Amino acid sequence: MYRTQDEVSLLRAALGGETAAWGEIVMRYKDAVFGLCLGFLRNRADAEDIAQDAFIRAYVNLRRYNLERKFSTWVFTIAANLCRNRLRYRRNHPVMEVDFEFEGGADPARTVVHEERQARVRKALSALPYTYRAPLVLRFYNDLAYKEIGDILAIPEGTVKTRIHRGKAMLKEKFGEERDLA
Amino acid sequence: MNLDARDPWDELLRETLQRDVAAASDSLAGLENRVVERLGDRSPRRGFLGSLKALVAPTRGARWGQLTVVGATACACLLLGLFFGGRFPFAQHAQSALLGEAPATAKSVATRSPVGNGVLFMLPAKDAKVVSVVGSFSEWEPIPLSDDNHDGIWTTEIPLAPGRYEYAFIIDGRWFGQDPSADEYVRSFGEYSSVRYVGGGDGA
Amino acid sequence: MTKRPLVAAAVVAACLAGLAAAVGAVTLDDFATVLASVPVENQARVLAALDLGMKSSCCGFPADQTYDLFHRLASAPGAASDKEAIILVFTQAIEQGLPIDGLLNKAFEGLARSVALPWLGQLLGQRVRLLEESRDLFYSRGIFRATPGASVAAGATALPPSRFDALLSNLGDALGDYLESGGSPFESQKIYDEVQARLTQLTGSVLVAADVELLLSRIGSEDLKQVVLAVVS
Repeated sequence: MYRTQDEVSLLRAALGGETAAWGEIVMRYKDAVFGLCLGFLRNRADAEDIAQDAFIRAYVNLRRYNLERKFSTWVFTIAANLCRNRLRYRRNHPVMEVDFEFEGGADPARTVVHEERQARVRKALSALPYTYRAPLVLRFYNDLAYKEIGDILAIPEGTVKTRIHRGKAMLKEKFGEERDLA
Repeated sequence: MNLDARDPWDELLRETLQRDVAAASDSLAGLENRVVERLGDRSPRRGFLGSLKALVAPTRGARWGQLTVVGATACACLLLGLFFGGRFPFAQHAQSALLGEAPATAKSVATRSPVGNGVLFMLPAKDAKVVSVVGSFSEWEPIPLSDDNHDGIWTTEIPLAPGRYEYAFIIDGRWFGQDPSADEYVRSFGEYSSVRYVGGGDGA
Repeated sequence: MTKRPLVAAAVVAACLAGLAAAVGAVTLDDFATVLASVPVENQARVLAALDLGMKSSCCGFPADQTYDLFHRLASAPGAASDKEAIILVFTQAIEQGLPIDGLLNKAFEGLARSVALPWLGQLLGQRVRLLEESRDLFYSRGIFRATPGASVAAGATALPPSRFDALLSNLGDALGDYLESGGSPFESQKIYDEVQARLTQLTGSVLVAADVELLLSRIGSEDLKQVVLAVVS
């Protein structure tokens, strides 16, 4: 029943206590939020956990959200903060990173070489410090503008640019190391 | 392949990140239902206790969203009950959960109950039908929690000798390994378990 | 709600397992019956090890818990050979005089989580190897398990068996948890931090401060890395 409603009406309904309307919002944003968490945390269980927490936290604090602002930025900010907290906690409680399995998602059109390149990028990305990985994920997974990335991570736009640039350079470097090892 | 070319790299990065999400599709499936389920009848409007909570701990507790309005109200009832039951010192524990402290810092108050050697296990689970706790103290056999006053807060007290205990809750058949009051978490068999240290530890 | 007394009983049993064994709550015959129900091919070897464990007067061999585990294992779904593999992991640990409390806990948890038995056996095997390697490390650093009447060389320390076992068991557990949580065997400092945090947390409740100090003063992060590497490679 909510499928065709616009976002603002859904948010209003959610504010009125209709959790089902919030379910529809979650449905619309879950790929983006979960992808952000997975990119930041590099661990599926943690990403699922934090994505859920982010939506719950957003709902509970919905009154603080200004309907005139972009909703995605707001919910991404919540998710990014939760991810940062989790990473901080994880420093002393290491978990398995990048436990991705591909048996379900295999694409027959892809070549083995391509798969291998992706695997290397994945590994290099995991090895990247969070401060560089986060802007890269927001830029290339969430397709956000530098300004918006800055808002979410609470850093100036110029810093976002620098980090994306440097992050990519580091990634290439790590990718190179990997290639030499192979 | 030309690794230095700008566009192919962006594309590779984009594809890899998208692929990771696609591979985790089972984590995504039904996420909205799990969120709605966890929300229960909660409303985004903050009640008096919610405001109080924000006042007391404006920046704390980034992750324990489940302990909010409904949970806070219920916790307050529990605190009052304990207060009048002459078990006030224990309120520290409930308060730490109420404020949603990070598990690592909640330790000193969460682990010990001054009532004998009993350690309190408490979980807000509104609408749950059966809640139990399994752990190293019971050979991982379920010990039921109860919610006699139907406030959605399930509790049980278990007498434990000093030591380290791993445990998880089971809510209507689903394992829940991340107790907000835990001292730390471990991953066993690919799943989370909560850990509590009882007695004696200096918390270093 | 009626389970609470049962739980209290279970906890008391866990704490006083040694006493329970001494009193003879579980006999070798009980073990023979449960092993036959699996069935276990190497029954004689398993029983001999259990006999050894139950006869060792010190440190409280957790016979009741071991019996409970074998009983639960016998009725769990899975191939008899997989169940026997798990029982043999315990047998091996008991034969070597290693503390099995941590292994029992993991096994109970695995069964409760309905983990595939081959995987469970593999993880338990890894934990036994961690205990073996850790004990060798203790020995190489002059930390021994005291045996009555034996003399100790200069510079070496013999800890009372229960304290030695507690130290070893918790070190093994910390390393096992580290590995099973996906920790890298190459990150020596992380391994050391994890172990240090665990042992320090338990100081005063399960471990004696002087023992923890002794251990941490004689082993370093590289030693722990070698222990882990020996097990995973």
